[in-house]
Amino acid sequence: MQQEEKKLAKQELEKIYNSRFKWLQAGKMLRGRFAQTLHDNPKLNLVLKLVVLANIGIWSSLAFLFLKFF
Amino acid sequence: MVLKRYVLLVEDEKFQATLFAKIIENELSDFGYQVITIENGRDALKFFSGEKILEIEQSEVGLVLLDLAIHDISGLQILEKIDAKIPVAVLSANEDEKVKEDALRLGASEYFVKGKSLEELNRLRDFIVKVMR
Repeated sequence: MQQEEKKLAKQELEKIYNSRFKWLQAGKMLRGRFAQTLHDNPKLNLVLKLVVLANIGIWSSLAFLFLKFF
Repeated sequence: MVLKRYVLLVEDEKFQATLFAKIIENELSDFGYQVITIENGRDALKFFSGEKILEIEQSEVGLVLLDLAIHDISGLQILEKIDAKIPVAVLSANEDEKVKEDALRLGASEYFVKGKSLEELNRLRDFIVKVMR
């Protein structure tokens, strides 16, 4: 009986463990894949950097315009 | 001879501390060991430096489970302070080989990646039972 309870507790704890860490693992996996994709495609890496830079430019211009008029 | 009746868990995240404590207790329930948790790095450092912050002595600890990513202090710093005679299982979410090597070099007996897989959890359980039996 005690062994049965121990086995049940073990299963329950495994479920909790899995649910607790699944997002961490999913995040790690996605980050790893993304890094690998960027590594395999240097052009994509460059394009993404330019997109980020362009976005910063666009939004900061809008912010300056907004500040100027109001 | 001092009986080694305690497993000391150093983990600052409350939920994970409770979860790992339950896992260890469930595994060692037949042997009558007790799990004690220290929830911050400073207290862990004090304890392993010989300060009396717990009811127990360092000599009564049969196994330490140490989280490397403690917010207030580096787990590696704590690892350096732990008596070399006490087996230490390092828990970390970091799979970096360099970190693992550093931990093993500083005296960790084993390195376990938190949440990696159920196989990894089973490896931790087997290690705990092997050390504490």
